[in-house]
Amino acid sequence: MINRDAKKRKFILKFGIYLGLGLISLIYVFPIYWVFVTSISGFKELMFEPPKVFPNAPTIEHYIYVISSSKYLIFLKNSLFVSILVSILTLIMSVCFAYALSNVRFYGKYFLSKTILMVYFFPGILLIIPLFQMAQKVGLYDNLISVVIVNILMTLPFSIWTLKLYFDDIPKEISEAAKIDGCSRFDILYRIFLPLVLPGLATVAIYSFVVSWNDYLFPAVLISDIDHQTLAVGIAGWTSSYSINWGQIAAASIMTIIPIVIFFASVGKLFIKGLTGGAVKG
Amino acid sequence: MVEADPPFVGLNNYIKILWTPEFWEEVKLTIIWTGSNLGLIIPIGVLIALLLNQEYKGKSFFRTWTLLPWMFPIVVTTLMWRWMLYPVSGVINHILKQIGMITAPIEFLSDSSIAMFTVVLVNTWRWTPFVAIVILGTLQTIPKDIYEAATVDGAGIFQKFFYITLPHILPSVIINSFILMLWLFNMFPPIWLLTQGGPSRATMTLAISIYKKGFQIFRMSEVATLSIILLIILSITTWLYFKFVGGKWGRLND
Repeated sequence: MINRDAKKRKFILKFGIYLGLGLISLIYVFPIYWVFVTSISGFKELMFEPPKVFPNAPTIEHYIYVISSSKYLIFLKNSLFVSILVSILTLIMSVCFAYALSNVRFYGKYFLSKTILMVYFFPGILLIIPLFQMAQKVGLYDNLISVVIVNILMTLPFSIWTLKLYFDDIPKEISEAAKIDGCSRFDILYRIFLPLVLPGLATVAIYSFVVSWNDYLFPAVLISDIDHQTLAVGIAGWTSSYSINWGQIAAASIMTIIPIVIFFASVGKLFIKGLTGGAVKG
Repeated sequence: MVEADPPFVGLNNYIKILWTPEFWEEVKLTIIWTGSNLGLIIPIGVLIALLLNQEYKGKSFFRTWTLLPWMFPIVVTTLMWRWMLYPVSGVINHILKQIGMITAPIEFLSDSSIAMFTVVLVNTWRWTPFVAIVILGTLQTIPKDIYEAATVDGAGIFQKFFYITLPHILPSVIINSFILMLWLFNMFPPIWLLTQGGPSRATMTLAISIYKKGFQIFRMSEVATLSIILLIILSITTWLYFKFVGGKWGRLND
């Protein structure tokens, strides 16, 4: 009797779990599916007919238009430039910084490590006016380099702290042994530490790439020429034109998220591990 | 954009702003925006994390794909919601009509009485996965044998949740709520891309107001004043947090 009761309860629990997961998936997958449907529906179908689960006459006209006649490829080039540069520079700077915080003794270390966290607490909108005026004064206004610099400012605190936690977990004995064997500080970092914190490096690289790829505020403020604009602001700009063509926006959106999906599907597990676990564990 | 040789005005800018009713209206909207977002995102995020932490098939698949919407450009997800929320050609009104819940289309984004509500829901959709994944990471650090011991002692599901799970994840929940609160307080893109602060200032939070004043009507001194006021509010909040909460539960002061 008790056994049957327990079985029944277990079944109800399992059922509940799958029901919940199904509901969450529906809520999160449907909008993305809907953008896809929009991107392959004809203009007339979108505007004058009730929405359908799948278009009667799927078409790729929006994709062709976006690639051949819009500034999509220019935006893409700018976005790639910013994101790749940001993730490389963030990686180099945060490795050096985190290594110092975790393994080098110097005056004001505690204060410094807390202060960089404070930068993280006061984001975006507070900084746009000073950044805008500074960029104008030093002649970097309307130049993608300014967007790169500002994005690094935003990605560094998180990256430094992530890597610091990884470095902290490496036993001190390892670096001491290496020092006795005649390794220089740089050798220890390069040959021993970096291979051990590979998941952390992946986390930082993905994080900074995605943050700068998705950033809207800073390019909107710092870039004025449409030919220097990044994807996020460029696509958003299409909605302020006289008539909004949602098919084209949907097509551009799908093409913008495809790199992230591919990227994430291949190394996403590593990223989530780094984001949630932190630390060197087998 | 800034006068070549601006005169020194002392605290006049601050006095002027603190005396306008619009400013207090914006403060109120910012608090409503931050509070309702937090009130939705944190509980739902914890719930999803608990769900994802169960044993089931396809675990890593679900975990990866739950975080995906957060990785998409905010512009993409927000514009996509704007398209789905259209009164006539939008799919959400269509579905609601089909299942007979409404007869006339709802003006989700242009009705000033529900615009804020809509914007909050869209933002909740975007940020919940992030909280869920972070809490999930904390959940996984709870040793399994505690639960086993509790089961042997005859604890039920709710007892296990309130006496084991909740105390374990509380520090992480508190620190994440705090960081999220600071982000929400300044959050700009979702509101801007959905309503631009409208209709008739119904979603005009301080962040939107700063951007509008700075880059549409170019009142830089007013913007600088607002930014400093915002900075003071946030600094006080942060200080209070570290003094009263952070040391006890947040584990930030170790």
